Amino acid sequence: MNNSQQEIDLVQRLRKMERLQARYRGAFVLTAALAGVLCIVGAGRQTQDSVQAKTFEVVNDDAKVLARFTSIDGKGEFNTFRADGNPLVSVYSSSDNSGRVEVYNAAGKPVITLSTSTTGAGSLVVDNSTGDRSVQVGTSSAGHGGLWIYNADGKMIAVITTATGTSDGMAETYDAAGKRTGHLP
Amino acid sequence: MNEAEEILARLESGKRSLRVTFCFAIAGLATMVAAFAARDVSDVVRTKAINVLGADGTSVVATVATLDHKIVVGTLNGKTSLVSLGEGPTGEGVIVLSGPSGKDVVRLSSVKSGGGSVGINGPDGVEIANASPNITNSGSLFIDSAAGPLIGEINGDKLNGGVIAVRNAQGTETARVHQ
Repeated sequence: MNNSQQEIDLVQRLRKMERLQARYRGAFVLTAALAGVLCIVGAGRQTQDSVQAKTFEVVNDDAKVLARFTSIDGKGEFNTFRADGNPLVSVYSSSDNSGRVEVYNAAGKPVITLSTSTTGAGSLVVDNSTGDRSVQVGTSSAGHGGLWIYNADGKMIAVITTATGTSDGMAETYDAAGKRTGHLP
Repeated sequence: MNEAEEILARLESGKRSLRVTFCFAIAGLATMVAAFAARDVSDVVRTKAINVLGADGTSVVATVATLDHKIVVGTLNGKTSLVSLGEGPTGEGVIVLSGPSGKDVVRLSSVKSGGGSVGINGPDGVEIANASPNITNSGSLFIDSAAGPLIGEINGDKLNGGVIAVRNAQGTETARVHQ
């Protein structure tokens, strides 16, 4: 091969290399731009309209779970805890699929319950330190509103509700044996 | 010329590895994009605070966070608290509802003995009714007038049974249901 032929061949190969280089440079710039856009979009997602997960947990500096949003049997639950794990407040559902809120005392026992009664009406129950019912606000079996007070053994000692068979209000007191000791009217 | 040819030959032989590298980079990027697009719902999200922002995108309208190793849960209207959940001074659970004035109007908590306590406050935040176990661990309900004095009481104990008493504004008992 003479020198002029070699020169032509080299020029052709150089031009081909030059085209390839230009092509790869363009592709690289395009790829880098795409990666940059992805990074900017990712960094810009500081506030999202909706964050979805099966469980959310809020932890303290010691990684102890102090609050948990989760689902049990397809029903939502929200629980808060002390740092030692004792429960504070639970928002979940009763076995009849109604809403329920429980507030716990320092010993971790539920002492206030907001729920629905067996009649389906609302109910507020305040328990004493031994877990016995102390005060209840809700409805009677006949669907009338009422307030019931219980002694330390869980025996009813006072009630304000509607008299049986009427729509009139009444108040009664009882002794520990269940004997009526006073009434209005 | 021979040297130039050698250099060109080396460059040409390297273009294949450049192409392979580029293909790998593209494949990685495509994988990243596909994973981003098809991301699944996380099983567990753990954090130190969850804030829900209002329509303006800046004001916090609900929060679940830790403060001094204690949990704080609340909904807010501007800077006014609406419903708050947290831990009381003795480690008990507490729920507080606030009124339009920002004062606490309902407080679910515990008494010192460990029984539950439901307090209803006036718009000024002063308690006007409370249901909780008394010192004998029996249930009790006390109602105050807006002026302060006790005007109604449902109370009792194991020994004496229940009592319902009402008082006038001066604190004198005016009626009683009891034995």
